[in-house]
Amino acid sequence: MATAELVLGLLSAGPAHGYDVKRGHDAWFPDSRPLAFGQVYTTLGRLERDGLVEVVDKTSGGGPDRTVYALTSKGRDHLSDWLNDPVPPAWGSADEVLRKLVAAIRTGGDAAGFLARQRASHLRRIRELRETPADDDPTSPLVREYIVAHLDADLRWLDGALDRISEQRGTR
Amino acid sequence: MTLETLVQLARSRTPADRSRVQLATAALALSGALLLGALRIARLGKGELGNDVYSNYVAESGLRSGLIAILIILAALTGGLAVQALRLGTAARERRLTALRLAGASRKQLRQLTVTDAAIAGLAGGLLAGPAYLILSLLFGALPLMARVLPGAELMDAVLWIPVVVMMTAAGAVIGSLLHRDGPVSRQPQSAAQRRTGIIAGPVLIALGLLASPYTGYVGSTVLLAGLALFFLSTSGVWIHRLGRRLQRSGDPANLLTGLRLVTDSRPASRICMLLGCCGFLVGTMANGIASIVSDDMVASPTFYTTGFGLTIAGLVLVVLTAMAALIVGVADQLVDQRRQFASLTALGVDLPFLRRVIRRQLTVVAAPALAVGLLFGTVIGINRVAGGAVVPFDPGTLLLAAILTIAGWLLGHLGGAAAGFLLRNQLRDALDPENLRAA
Amino acid sequence: MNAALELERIEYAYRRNTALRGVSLQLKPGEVVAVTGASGCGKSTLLHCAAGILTPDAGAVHVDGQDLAALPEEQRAALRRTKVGIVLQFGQLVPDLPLVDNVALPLLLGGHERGEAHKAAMNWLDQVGIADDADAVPGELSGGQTQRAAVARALVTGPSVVLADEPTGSLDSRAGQELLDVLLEAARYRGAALLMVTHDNLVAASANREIRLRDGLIQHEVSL
Repeated sequence: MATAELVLGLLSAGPAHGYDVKRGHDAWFPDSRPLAFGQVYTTLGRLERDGLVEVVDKTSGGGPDRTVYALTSKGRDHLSDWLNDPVPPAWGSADEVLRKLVAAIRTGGDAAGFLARQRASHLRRIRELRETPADDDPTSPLVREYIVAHLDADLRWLDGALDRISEQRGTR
Repeated sequence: MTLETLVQLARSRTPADRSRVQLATAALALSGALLLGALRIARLGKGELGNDVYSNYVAESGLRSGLIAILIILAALTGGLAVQALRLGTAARERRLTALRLAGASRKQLRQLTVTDAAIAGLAGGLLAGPAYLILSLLFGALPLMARVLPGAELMDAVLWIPVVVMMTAAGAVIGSLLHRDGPVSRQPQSAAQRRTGIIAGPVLIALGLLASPYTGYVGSTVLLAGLALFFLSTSGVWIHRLGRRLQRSGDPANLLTGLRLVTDSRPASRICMLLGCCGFLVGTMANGIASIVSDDMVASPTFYTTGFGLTIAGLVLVVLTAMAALIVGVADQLVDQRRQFASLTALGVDLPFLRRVIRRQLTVVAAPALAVGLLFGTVIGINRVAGGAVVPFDPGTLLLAAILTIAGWLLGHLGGAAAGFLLRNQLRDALDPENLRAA
Repeated sequence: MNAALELERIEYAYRRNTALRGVSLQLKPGEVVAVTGASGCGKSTLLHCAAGILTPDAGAVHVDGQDLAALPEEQRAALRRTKVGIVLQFGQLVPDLPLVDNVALPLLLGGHERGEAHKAAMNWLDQVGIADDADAVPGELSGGQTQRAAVARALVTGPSVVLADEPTGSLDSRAGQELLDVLLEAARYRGAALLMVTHDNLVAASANREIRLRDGLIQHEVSL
């Protein structure tokens, strides 16, 4: 799951409380399940352990909700690496693509470049699938068609997203 | 491109194209036959012949040259019909040329194909001219002596047939070459400047012709006719467009559709309008001539004159009928090209009688006024003014005749429209077939 | 080695709007390139310029190293006929000619004997799997069959470049896939470069490169 990277993305604008991170996430993804407080704090703890975020301020009394976190330079690199990589076009990868796109736009990353790489990655996958014929059993071709159809649907959405982003950039 | 390929590719096998080539072939055949007739009479030499063997028109040397001239003019007129027929561009034809261009045909090759197509029509027309001439001479042979303006066919005609075939083939090639356009024909309306020239120059030429004919004879008459054609061509564009616009604003859906069809493609309509107007004019002058001869007791042999005028009228009516046929063919082609739009009309509840009404209206709004106006002008102006004879003041009889002929022209136009609706009923049904929605 | 097709800063404007604002691309022999982009981005115009159907306002088109604009009309037509094959969305076959003649057309126009041209055409009809329909006219066939014939016609002269504008656009997904396989196979068999304009992702997926146009410019180019 990419919750960790999303948290990094949410912190990229500046230091914030865990509560702000949760609110930010819910604002980025208003149509999905809200992020649980518990998950925010365990994630932040793990990121701190790995040196990707650091504690910059701690109000006296010191519960987790009083701690202000900030990105380290290692964390910033990790975030930009993550945003650079297209999502491996596997089953159920769409959520991840969406997360990256939202994070890229919100953090001022190269969203168009990401979408272009993601398209290429999806297209390659389709070609691989088409080049290796499905096994000759009753279900394999069905599974194959399912995957290709879903990749195709993703690609259509990616296409629209590219246009929308270019339009926004054009009007700004 | 080998000759075999050229001939194979030049001949289109789509029905819309075929009908247009058939019409051109028929027109060129008639034209060739008339030419053969002119040559046959020309071979009689210059001297006077006995009018107990020949019709006066053939026997008297002065009249003979006039008859030859009339036959040649008729041949040119029917040749003009071939031009009209070949000019009726169809979307099917344009699609075909596009496909050939995509397959790598160069402009020169496309021109070669168009020219070959028209030349083949000319060749076929020339070959048919012989039999057509034979039939005509037999038909005329059955008429009373005075009306036998074509002396019977003879062996020499068969020899002269060969140059006529060559000539018709060449005529076809020339027509094809003149009509060829690179790329699809633009559907732009006639330019305003062009139209203005016609509207001004037309009446000027008419007046000039009328004034000059007493002194210059047939030259003046020709100028008059040219002016008339120019006038009809330029004004018809204007009023067909205006009429179409007015119909489009009408509340009646049939009128609305008619208007739409006239406005989108007014060129063929205005061309045919010109032809019908000129023919109407000529028929009018002939009728005027007959009337003045019949009413004049001084004329020794009225049958002599009425025969001349009657034969000319018959020839002109023939041209009118073919012009109507051309208009109908044009509508038929339009139907084929627009069958998708028509098929979608079916979905809106348009049925066969409704569409027939639209087509009938489309034809009659063009044909009826053109014929009526032409006849009116022709009868009122009269043969004497046109040919440069002595001018008699208008008499009430002429005006009555003019009124009758105007109404007759109007009715003939409507009859033509109704006949077209009837003749095209299968194409109309075909065009409305929802099956058309499936294929482009 | 010469590029099979090279477009240099092509510009093209229709009366009201500019379709291409300087697009350059190169196709190596045997390469497959997909041009994608939203409707109106100029992708079909690009293909028509490459095919010599449209003459660009600025820039140059080279086929097999030859500048199209530098050739006189007759030679340009001959070059288009022999070196460039075109497949459009609706086949664009001559409606009244049997398939075999339609496929043989580029050869016939090039002055080949009918028998010889027919033989080559039959080979290609066989290659695309419709040899049985050789005597049918386009109206009697399905969309997939006409498109196959169009592929055969595009390849019959042994071109260096095949240009395809939405080749599967008029077909359902299964027929589209089959046609795509036929087209790829034919181009590969002949060693021709293939430039496909498409909005079909499955078509784009079969390319070595995707070039995406936006507003008459290359938005991005990725190899696949």
